[in-house]
Amino acid sequence: MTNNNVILSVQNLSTWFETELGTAKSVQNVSYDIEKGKTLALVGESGCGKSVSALSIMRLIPTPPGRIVSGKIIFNGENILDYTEKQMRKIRGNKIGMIFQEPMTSLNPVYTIGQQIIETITLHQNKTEEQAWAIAEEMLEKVHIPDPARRMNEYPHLLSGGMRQRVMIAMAISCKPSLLIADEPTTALDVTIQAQILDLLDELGHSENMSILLITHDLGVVAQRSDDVVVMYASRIAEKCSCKELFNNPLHPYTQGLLKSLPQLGTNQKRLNTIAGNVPEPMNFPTGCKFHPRCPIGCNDKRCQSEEPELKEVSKGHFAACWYAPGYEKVKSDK
Amino acid sequence: MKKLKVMTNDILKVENLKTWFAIRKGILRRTAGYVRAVDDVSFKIPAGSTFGLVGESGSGKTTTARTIAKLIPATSGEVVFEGKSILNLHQSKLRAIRKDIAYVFQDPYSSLNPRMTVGSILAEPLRVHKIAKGSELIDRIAGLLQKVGLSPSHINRYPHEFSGGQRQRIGIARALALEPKLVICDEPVSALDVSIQSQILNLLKDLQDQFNLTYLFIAHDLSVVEFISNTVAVMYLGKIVEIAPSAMLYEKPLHPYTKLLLSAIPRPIPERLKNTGQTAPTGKDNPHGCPFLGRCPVSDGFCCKQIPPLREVEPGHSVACFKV
Repeated sequence: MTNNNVILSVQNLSTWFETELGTAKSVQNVSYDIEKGKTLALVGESGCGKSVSALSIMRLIPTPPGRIVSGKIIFNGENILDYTEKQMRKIRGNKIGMIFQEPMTSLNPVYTIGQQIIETITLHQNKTEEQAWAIAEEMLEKVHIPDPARRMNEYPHLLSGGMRQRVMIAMAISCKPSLLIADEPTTALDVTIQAQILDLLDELGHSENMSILLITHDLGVVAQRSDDVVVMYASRIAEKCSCKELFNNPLHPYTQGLLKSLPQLGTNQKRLNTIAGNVPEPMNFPTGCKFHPRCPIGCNDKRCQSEEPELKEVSKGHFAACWYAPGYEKVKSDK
Repeated sequence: MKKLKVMTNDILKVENLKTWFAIRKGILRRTAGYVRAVDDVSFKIPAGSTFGLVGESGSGKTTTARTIAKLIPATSGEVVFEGKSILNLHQSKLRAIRKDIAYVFQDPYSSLNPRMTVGSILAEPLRVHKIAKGSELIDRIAGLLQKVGLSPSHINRYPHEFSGGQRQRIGIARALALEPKLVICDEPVSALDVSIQSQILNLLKDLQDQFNLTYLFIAHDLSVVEFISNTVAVMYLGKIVEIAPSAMLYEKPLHPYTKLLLSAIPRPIPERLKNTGQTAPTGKDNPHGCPFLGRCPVSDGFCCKQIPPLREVEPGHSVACFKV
């Protein structure tokens, strides 16, 4: 399994939170690899554990109440879960960049754009403040912010949402990270601005050979911007395969339901297909397969109600966790 | 004669509506200029149909809706609801109108009072308008909950006990409590998960068929608007730039802005995009010319001299562009 081309390998990661009401198992047994220069999309609904898995990679889970219970996160061949906090600080913002979901709240309102960007640069690179300022300006230019010299001295409130997100990206790439984690980078933005930001990420991915972990709930974005996809449902991986395979041949009923429930442009539909019920909360996950109460196949099936299917490779490169996925029964459990 | 008949069918008619906000500067707070949030907007909504309003944030969709619901005062223009002008109506007469125009808000997390039970949230409009009390009130609330797909046993629960989709159902039940004729839905599904979004859209359609409701539906997601609307208007910087029956708009968009919006939607077809070539607004303000000038790929010298009027190019399809 050691592949030199893999920049990040998450193996059997479980992250739990202790709460007053019991243990919330937010991420359970999640594994995925990201190759150099590729984009992996992590899709799922709110509360399915997408963001927690990303924060676990950055080791930003507040402990307590949160805790990485088991698993390995291999970045550039080393398990960063074994790192000390001091070592970790050298990785964050330097080797792994992160773009947070809300551009409106993730910038500090009392510092200028310039001050915020050079903070990362002076911290990680051996540069004087003046040199850092020049690099920051170059970064702003790279993310297509007009008049970067002027913007450097401005405060975040003067910028629009799209512009702020660009500043966040400039900050995240200022140390030329080999992996960029983008947690819903375009959710708060208009479609036209979204397209620009995604273009920009694509462009940077190609020019800097940067890998991107793209977290989103928008299947349209996934279809057009990713190489591989991981679909999460209720803290576990439901399906994992290449982007093309997912849209052409979805195997998990949850993925199938999601794809069918999207309104399609220019089709004049009378009704939309739906997935019945609600997303379960981490405190009260159903027994057996966590999707069974909402599943058209599993809702009346004894095995789905009592036994949880593990993720298996049902065809080459296509993993699914469903008793009824074609070919699932034939695959022998690896361990 | 024919025209008259059409007019009587329109439940809502908006004519040259303007909502401007004053920008105040200096110690004396003198008016230094205006933000023209809604600038000369006109449209009609036939009874029983759905009118979709799309545009980017800041295009004036919500301000238009709020002005119609009289939550924001209009600067000028006319809003005619069932043949009556409502913009200058006296407070006492306004109450009767408020019963007929309901509002479903965007964020199901902040639009329900966390200290009130579902029962009291739904009872409030019925009490205020003195429509029901006692056991009749309870019956009506139970009926409302059933209509939106919730159980009457939820009546004593608080909003935090519900998921986002269920809360939006409560918001819809509250809007329907007074049996309104027009329901203004301001981005009712944008805060919801994909699998829940389709449930709510289907519910809205079912309720429309059942109670002959008219919707003014606001969203920034064009595929959602296409699904639910009969007619769609596209807004840009406070103006309507294109208005057409929904199928026609998506098949044959005429305004360059509509084309831009449609091309920017990420479609669930696995095909790696290289570059969509989207441009940002340049911010160059041109008060005399077309508002879309800075981003328009087809504009020429003439476009910066005059504001293009909205004109009908084929029946039901109007567009504000010189180049069409």
